[in-house]
Amino acid sequence: MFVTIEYFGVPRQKTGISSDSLSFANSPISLSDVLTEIAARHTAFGEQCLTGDELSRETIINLNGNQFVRSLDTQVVNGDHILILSTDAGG
Amino acid sequence: MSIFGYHGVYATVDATTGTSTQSPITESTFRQFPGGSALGTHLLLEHAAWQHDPLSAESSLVFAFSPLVGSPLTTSAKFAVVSRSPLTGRLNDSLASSSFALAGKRSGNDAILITGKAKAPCILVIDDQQTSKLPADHLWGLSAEDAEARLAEQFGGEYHFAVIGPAGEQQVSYATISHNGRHAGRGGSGAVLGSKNVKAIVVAGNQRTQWANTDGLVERAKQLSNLSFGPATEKYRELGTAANLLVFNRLHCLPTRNFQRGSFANSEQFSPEALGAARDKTRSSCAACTIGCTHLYSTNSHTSNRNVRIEYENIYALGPLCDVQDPEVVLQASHRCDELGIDTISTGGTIAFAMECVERGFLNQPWLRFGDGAALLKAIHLIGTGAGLGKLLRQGSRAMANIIGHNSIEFAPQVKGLEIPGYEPRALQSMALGFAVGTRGADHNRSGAYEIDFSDAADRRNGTAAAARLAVDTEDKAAIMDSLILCKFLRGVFSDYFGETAELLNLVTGWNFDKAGMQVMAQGIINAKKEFNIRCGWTPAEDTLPHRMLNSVLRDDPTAQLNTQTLRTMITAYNLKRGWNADGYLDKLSSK
Repeated sequence: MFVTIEYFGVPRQKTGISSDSLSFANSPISLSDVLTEIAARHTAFGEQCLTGDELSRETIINLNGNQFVRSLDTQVVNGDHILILSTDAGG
Repeated sequence: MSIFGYHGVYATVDATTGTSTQSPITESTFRQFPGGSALGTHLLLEHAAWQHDPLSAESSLVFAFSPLVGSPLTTSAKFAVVSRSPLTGRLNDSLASSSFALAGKRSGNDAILITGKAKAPCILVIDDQQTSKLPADHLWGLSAEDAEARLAEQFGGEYHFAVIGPAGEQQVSYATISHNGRHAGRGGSGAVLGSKNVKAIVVAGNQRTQWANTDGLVERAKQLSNLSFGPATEKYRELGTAANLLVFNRLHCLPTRNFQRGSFANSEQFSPEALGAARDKTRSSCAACTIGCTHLYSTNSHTSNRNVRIEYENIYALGPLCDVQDPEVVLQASHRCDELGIDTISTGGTIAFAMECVERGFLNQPWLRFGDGAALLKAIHLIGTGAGLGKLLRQGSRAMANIIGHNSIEFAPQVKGLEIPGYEPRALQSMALGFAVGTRGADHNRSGAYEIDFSDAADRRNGTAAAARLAVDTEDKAAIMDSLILCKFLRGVFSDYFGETAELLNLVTGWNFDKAGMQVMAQGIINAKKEFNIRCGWTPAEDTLPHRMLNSVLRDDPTAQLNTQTLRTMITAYNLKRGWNADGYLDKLSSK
């Protein structure tokens, strides 16, 4: 299955790309699986994205432009778009 | 009586005579209203400022400092300007950061209240508790930046200045007060100062306050500075607030064409990455700040070689909201707003509203079309001169709608008269509540309810009573930040917000606030602001949103719908959580 990752703000700066398409053998998978793959590809961002077994305070994730999620157990299915944002909307 | 962190007095300066008096402020008052917005609101209540037209000689305008000003804590060089707003008729508290805060507090006052009206343009100088009035004929008509430069030559480096531009002199309803390139921007405090014929407040002095626990304060300041270099503030430091643009666009939260859409075709060109690639870029910081969120970009302007400070709100209001696609135009428009001394959000909101009035045939100004950059610049020019359409534009969108008629108030982008910042309420419904109930109108700095929308605690397109109750907490945090005062961009470094801000206050003052005490303080501050508005004539009907946002879907995201019933449910939940009645009235007003 394929999952599209969209990077914004600091995550875009750290990864150096605005989007990416990741391929996984199984479906569905968890958000944790996706972030582990991202961390393997983008070490600098990966270090900041996760704190132990949790999403770091500085990272915000949105699924398909709809719901914001924090649980790494969130189910991800084929065709999902995962938006990774900087913390804090204000300004 | 000496109180750690305070002088224990405020000055009342009469612009009519150029004289001042000092009055004491008790420790008990400071414990409820420690500084900034809180102290300014309290003093306005004490002076019954709700009774007066904000542009009358009798009106009051307070510059309020805080216990943390002058401390080594990062981002603490801030002050609040508080008055009744000429734009909304309600309370207005604008904050800004600069050395003006440091020098103002060293003048020996915890706040400076300006009243009266000079017969001719003047400068008010408050220096070590001495006050004088000097002529300002040589400054009248100058931009705030140019006037500041002239004042620096006249007074020297120890003096600092809060200045109005030409818009303030002409009492444009959303004129700012400026200093070091920063603005106390929203709500028209510059017009209040201009109505008093005061071009500038000049402050200096050598009066310093003591801290209760200097060693502890210095140690905590070092920790906070280190944290301010970390990931919690990285967005502001590396990209600036303009980083919001692409995110908001992707989520259809970026108000476009006067809130007709939630996304903008040319958003990539306005991203900080694109602006930085195409232009010279510099960064700067406010006084005593280690974050450094200010990002400035070069323009092709023939009239200025200065880089232009760009924030998300400037871009939103002068770009997408007016459907202007050219970043160069938006940079020049933003710069022109700074020169005139006008709030960019209200400027863009009012012009976008006028563009839609033209589009609908309600306003016979065929040159003023969405997407026309030259028209945007011309409209700003007219706001500055007051000629032609400028006479209407300088009153803000609500007043304009009331003059134009045709039910245009239904799409005037304002709440309580204050133009709406760049958060589409239908797509961010906790923020919709924050806008509706805000004491100074539609306001992203007094309510951080968008944080609820940008979390897993709520469905951003489905406002609920539960989300409304969560929004109260974000408003409480802002009330504390705006009163201690610290920059909101620092908030992410705190893991126990109320507990840690209590610690900062205690280190300076020697008090023993705890988490619960700070939350009680926040509620008291919000109550005071609400009381001021009630005394001004506030009614529950004001806590709402424009008809458009409650009766039509967002064109590019039909799932983003908000209706009156949902908003009322949220407002009732908010009011009850605040301890008010369901309509939003306090049980009783303080005796004045």
